[in-house]
Amino acid sequence: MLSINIKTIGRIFYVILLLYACSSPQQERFNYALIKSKLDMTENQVTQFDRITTSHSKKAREAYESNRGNREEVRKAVMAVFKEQDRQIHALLDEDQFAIYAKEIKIEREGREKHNMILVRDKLGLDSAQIVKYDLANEAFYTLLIDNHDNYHGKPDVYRQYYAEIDVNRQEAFRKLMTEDQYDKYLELAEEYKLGESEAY
Amino acid sequence: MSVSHLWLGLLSSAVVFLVCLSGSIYAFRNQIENLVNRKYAYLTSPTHTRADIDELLRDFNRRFGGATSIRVFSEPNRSVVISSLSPGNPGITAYYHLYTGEFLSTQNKTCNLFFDIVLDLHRFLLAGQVGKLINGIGILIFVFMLFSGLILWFPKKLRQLRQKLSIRWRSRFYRLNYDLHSVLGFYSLLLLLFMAITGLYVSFHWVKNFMIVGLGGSSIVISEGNTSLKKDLSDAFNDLITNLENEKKLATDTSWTLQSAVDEANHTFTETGTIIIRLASEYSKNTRITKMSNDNFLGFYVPQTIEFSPGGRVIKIAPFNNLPLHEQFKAIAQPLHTGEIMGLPSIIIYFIVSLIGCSLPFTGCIMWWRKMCVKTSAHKTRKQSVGVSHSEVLA
Repeated sequence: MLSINIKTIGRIFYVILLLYACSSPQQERFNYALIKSKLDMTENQVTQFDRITTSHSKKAREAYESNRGNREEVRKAVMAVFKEQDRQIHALLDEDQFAIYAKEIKIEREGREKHNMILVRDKLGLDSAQIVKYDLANEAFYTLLIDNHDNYHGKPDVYRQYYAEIDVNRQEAFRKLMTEDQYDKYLELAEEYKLGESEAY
Repeated sequence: MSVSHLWLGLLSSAVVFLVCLSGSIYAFRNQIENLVNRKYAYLTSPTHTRADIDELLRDFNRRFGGATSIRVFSEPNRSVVISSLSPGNPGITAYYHLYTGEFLSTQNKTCNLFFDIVLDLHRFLLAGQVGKLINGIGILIFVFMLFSGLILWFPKKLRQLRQKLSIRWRSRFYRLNYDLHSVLGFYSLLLLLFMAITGLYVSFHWVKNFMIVGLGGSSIVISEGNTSLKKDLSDAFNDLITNLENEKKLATDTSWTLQSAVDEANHTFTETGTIIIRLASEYSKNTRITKMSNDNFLGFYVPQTIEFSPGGRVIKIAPFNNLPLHEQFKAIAQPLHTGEIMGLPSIIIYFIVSLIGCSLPFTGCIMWWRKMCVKTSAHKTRKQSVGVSHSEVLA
């Protein structure tokens, strides 16, 4: 009787695992919405852009999964997908648009967040004293995040919790150094730039 | 107990087998890497004057760029290893001559790739986060199996103790198999339990938190109720801002070099040991030097850390002995799990124990198979005897 129960428990265990595997959402790694907003594309270009980036994001994930465990092969396979995506985007856009795309996608692929924090800073109209404090708050934020690395290492969900908690302090520092309008704008920009959503350290 | 030991054992057997096997191979990563790269990893003619670390670093950055760490070994015949490995970047690892500063070679990539796969198998069963979950659950079951196995092992009478502690090598196959499972399992129990728990510590946040709190630390789980952690993070953030502000006001020491930081570390921690330098990066502006020394009662390799600000000021000195117990455990959790804690002797012991752990599901399955066969034949015999008695009645 007990063995039957344990077999049933075993089956339930595998079903749960299967559901878990199937339900993991695939998050978009790169901020294509932001890139699109800078390209001034026609409606047809936007459709084509979405088609190309969606299909190549899928291919990049597949390339990553199929070469998992072999870093060099992963790099090669993913770079090949990126290269093909860039070739198709190049054919879609004019030279000026492609120059912007190339610059933006390079930043996306090499790491976005710190770069975005500089862009956000530049859009806030801060004075020189505010800029110094803004940079200090950011530096303290990233240093503290790295200092706590041992607590969230290899656990993306825990990393996001730590990010959010330390960000409460950074936002408080920003609120103190900015005017009310600047701070409201910062919150808008933080949302627009998806701060804290794209990277893990 | 025996039923749950049997079924849970069968359920987790594949995971335990793979994790123990890959762990026993991975334990020798450093030794095998050194063997493969022996031409560059070891130096034949050590002298007394060592090359300047800054020169080596400059050369690495000129050739490959983006160095993230430097390792200077305590042995006088070992090359300096510089790497640009970082999260998401496999980087380049290169050997430099400790005395002449000459670039020797980059590390063999095939060897690295092999061990990356072994590590992926050990941690994720080559199946990402799902594999990690299966792995974690399998090892949790394994911990239960170790306890239930101990209960099953216990002799009912004292005079049975001797046979429970020794393997009868000349007995028949199934008896020998039973002894291998039971006796080897008993002897390796403590270390396997230790490896499993330190492995779970790495895999599950709640296990890590449980152990840290158990060792006297504060909870590391972020939640609405955990105001202590929130306050700690808030205080740390404000302290950092103050320190950074002060740092900016002070003049940067232009004479500060990496070599002077290494000298300072050697002056602060006088024991002989391997030096690991975590270089400043985009996300962490400080340079951290860790000295691994085993100059203690147990001969454990423990880290002593000193940290420098970008301006070259010492901002943190953390001798291992001064750390609270939970911080000490955090600092050595990985070498405790891998067996590197006491160097090669403990790695060899871990290797043997891992192989025993790897054999337990195997010998356990044979025991289960034997039991099934005996049951089936007993069932057949009973059926036949019932058939005979029926025919006798009918006659």
